[in-house]
Amino acid sequence: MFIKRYSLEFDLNNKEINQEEVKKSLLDFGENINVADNSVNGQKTLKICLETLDPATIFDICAQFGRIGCIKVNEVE
Amino acid sequence: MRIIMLATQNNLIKNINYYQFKNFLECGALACFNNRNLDLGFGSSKIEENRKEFLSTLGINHKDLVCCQQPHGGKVAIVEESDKGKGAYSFAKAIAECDALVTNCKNIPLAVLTADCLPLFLFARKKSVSAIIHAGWRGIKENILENTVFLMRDKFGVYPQDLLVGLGPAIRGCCYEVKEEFKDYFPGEVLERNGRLYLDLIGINLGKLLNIGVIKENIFDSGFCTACLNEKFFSFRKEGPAAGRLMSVIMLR
Repeated sequence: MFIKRYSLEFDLNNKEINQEEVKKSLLDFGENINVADNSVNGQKTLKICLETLDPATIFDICAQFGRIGCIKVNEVE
Repeated sequence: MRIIMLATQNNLIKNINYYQFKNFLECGALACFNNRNLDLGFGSSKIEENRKEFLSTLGINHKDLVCCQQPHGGKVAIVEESDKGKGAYSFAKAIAECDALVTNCKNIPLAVLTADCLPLFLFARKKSVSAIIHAGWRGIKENILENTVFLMRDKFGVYPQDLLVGLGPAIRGCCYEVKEEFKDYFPGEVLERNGRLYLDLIGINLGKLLNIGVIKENIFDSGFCTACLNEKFFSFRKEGPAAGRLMSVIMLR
């Protein structure tokens, strides 16, 4: 058995993004989920932080909502 | 609507766990993708065991595997000898921020993981350069294909007409239902049937490849739709986000 746990932090950009909808879609795939409004100068951005066993799936889900950027990934001890 | 006929027959060698592009092999590159017998995604509880089983059958050292983090963007990375093993098992160590990998180094397996998105295999015979692309709708919109081909040209002197291109398993225009806004993202590329809209990922990429200068006869399509053939391949749309992931891998011999 070889399961790693990751902490994931990234921005999600889209002018019509819905914070609650994003958070709801991630509930089954992560823990300690924090979705915060990080909009600056009219650019709608969410800052997403969570822990997950499957970060690729988190990106696949979030890419349906907006552009992903400023990614930080770490293995959780 | 674009209709392009490709040579899809007899371009694949079939194994119990994978398919391999014959034309690539004959020219010095290994290009293959697995079926749903093995989940090779980072979320698999058998990631090490499954990747080892798949890659060892191909004569690849599983510890050398290079993956990228695939955030569905348009960025491409060049892979060097020192990158060997990045993403072999740890997502945190995979090449960050990009959805395509390019190398001119032999025996470095480059991989992308998909479940509906299109894996694209690129191989320049004369210059011996390979690339693998994770092409979902957002990456295509961000020009991931053009960015990869132009990077191969600018860094390695690869001409598009020298490229062999393979199209792996992906959700196709028959099954990929999309929302109205996709008409704005891909003007003229959204198909309308019985009041529903469908995106043809393959048609869009074929058009782009031909526009760039890739020769039609050098494009080989697996022809597999992950949703139609869900018994053979993983499908995000059909099974939901918890679906397993297929691996597409290319390596210069």
